[in-house]
Amino acid sequence: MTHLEQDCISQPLAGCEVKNIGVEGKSDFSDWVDLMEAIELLCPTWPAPSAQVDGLFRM
Amino acid sequence: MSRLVAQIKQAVAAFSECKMPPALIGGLALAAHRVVRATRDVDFLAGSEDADHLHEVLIGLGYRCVHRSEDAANYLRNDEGLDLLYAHRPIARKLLKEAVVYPTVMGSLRVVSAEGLIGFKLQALANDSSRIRDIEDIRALLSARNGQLDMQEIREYFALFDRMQWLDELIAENTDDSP
Repeated sequence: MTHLEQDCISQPLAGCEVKNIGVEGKSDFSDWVDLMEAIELLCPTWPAPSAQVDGLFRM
Repeated sequence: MSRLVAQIKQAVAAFSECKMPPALIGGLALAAHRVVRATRDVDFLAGSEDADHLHEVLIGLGYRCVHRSEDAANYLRNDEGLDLLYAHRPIARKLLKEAVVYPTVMGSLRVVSAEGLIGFKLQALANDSSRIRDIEDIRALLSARNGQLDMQEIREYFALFDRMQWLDELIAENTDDSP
C-alpha cells in the first residue's frame, strides 16, 4: 500500500456526518428574493411549469 | 428586479379588488415562516366566489387558463405559471380569512399560517406521494417553528389525511434534534 493510499484511507470522506440544516429566513421574503435573483442569473431559461393542480381536496 | 418578483408584484396588485384578497400558499409562502428554499411556483389560495373575477384578471394580464375545476386552476404566461386553489370548504375558508399580511419587497402579501401550509402540503402529498419536496417542507416547517405551532390544528390536518403515525415520527425527530 502506498503512502497516498494510506492517507486516503485514514481521512474521512468529505460530506459524511453532515446534517442538512436549513438556513433560517427573516420572514420578509428578502432571503427568498436574493436567492431567486441569483438563481435567475444562473438559469435564465426556466424549465416548463409543473403539471396541473388536481386530485384529492379535503382542506 | 427579478422576473419572478415582478410577476408576483403584478398579480398581487391586480388581485386587490377581490372580495377576499388571495393568500400565498406553497413553497414561496414558506419564506414567511422562516423556511427559505428556491421555488418559482406561484400558488395562491383564493375565495371560490372570486374565481370568475380572478379568471378575467389573469386573462387580462396575458395568462391563459390551462385547467380549471371547482377546486383549482392553472394559468400560464409563456414560461410563467400561476396556480390557484379555491377555498370553498370550511378549513380553507378559515385559513384564507385568517391569513396574515406581510410587508415585503413585492408589496403587502397575505400568507397562510404555517399550520395551514402544512395542511396543504399534506393534501399535495395525498395527490402525489412522490413529492419528496413536500415531505421536506413539512419537516422544515415543524423544525423552524418548533414550539410555536398550534399542534392541535396540525394533528387535525394529519388525521384528515390519515398520516398520524408519520406526525408522531416527525415530532420524535424534532425532539431528537433539540439541543
